[in-house]
Amino acid sequence: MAEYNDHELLEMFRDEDKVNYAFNLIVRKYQERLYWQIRKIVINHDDTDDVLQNTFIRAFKGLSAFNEKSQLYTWLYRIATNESLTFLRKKRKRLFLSLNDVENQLANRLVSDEYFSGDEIQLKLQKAVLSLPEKQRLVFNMKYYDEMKYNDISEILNTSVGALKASYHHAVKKIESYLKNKDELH
Amino acid sequence: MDDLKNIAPELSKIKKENSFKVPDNYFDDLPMKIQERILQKKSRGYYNIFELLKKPAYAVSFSLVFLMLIIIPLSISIYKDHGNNNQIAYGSLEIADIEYFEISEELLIEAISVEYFDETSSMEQATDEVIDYLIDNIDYSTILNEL
Repeated sequence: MAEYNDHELLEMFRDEDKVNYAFNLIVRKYQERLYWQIRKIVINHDDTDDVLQNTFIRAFKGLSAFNEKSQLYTWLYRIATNESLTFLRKKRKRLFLSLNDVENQLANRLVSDEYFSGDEIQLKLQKAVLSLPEKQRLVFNMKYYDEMKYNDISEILNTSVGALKASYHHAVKKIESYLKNKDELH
Repeated sequence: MDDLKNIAPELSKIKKENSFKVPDNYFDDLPMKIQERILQKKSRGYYNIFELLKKPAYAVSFSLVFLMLIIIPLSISIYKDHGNNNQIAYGSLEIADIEYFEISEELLIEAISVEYFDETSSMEQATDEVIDYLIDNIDYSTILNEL
């Protein structure tokens, strides 16, 4: 299959006869990266599947208005992040839980998740990440796991680079503290 | 990485790996699933009202709107009727006013005066009769003894 760049894909999408074909190529190009971004936020595979499908449907509706001022990937990433956070908020409301309770629940479900293969230390790290406030968790995942540039994260989260650096620093310190304290308990 | 070692030595010891898995062939099947959902939405129109009514939040909202659609016109018609009743009441007041002003001040004074003079003359007549009776039937010595 020919590899098209984002601009070519968008040009193709604007051609009425090739809309579905172009969108199919966009889905194939970005599905994995978006999946892992969403999965780190909502944790469970089935929830990730729902959020990812909603992300692409939302993208399909908005793509004709996308003006290429930002990169296609950061635009999709932003939709995915918003959809994931909306999903968690809805879940919180539906179950009458606080945000911390939702994250505790996600951490507890991780232990029995058939699609989680991490050892004890990886499980502990995931629990530490889930203990972070929402924004710090997002920044940590993007920087630590995805190794994204601060400028790209800034575009996605609509936050200044300085604030992101501070968030990442706090997140790392909290995770370190969590790991040390949990070590003492074991 | 050196920075991470300095600020978070425990974290830097952990191998950076993806511990999450996906079901087999998940990414092969996903584009088709998304395409199907988009086509479904296109064929139904993005917002099928009956589909939306299955969701409790939408069902409650639609019910409220439906009730409002019934209540508002009903309230307006009741208010209009009530307004018309007020007009009738005002109309009858106007009639009462006309009747009141038709009785002139002169007529009123005359009526009061006639009643007043009739009453005073009959009272005067009664007093005269009493005096006459007393003169005819009681002598002065009896009256003086009583005093």
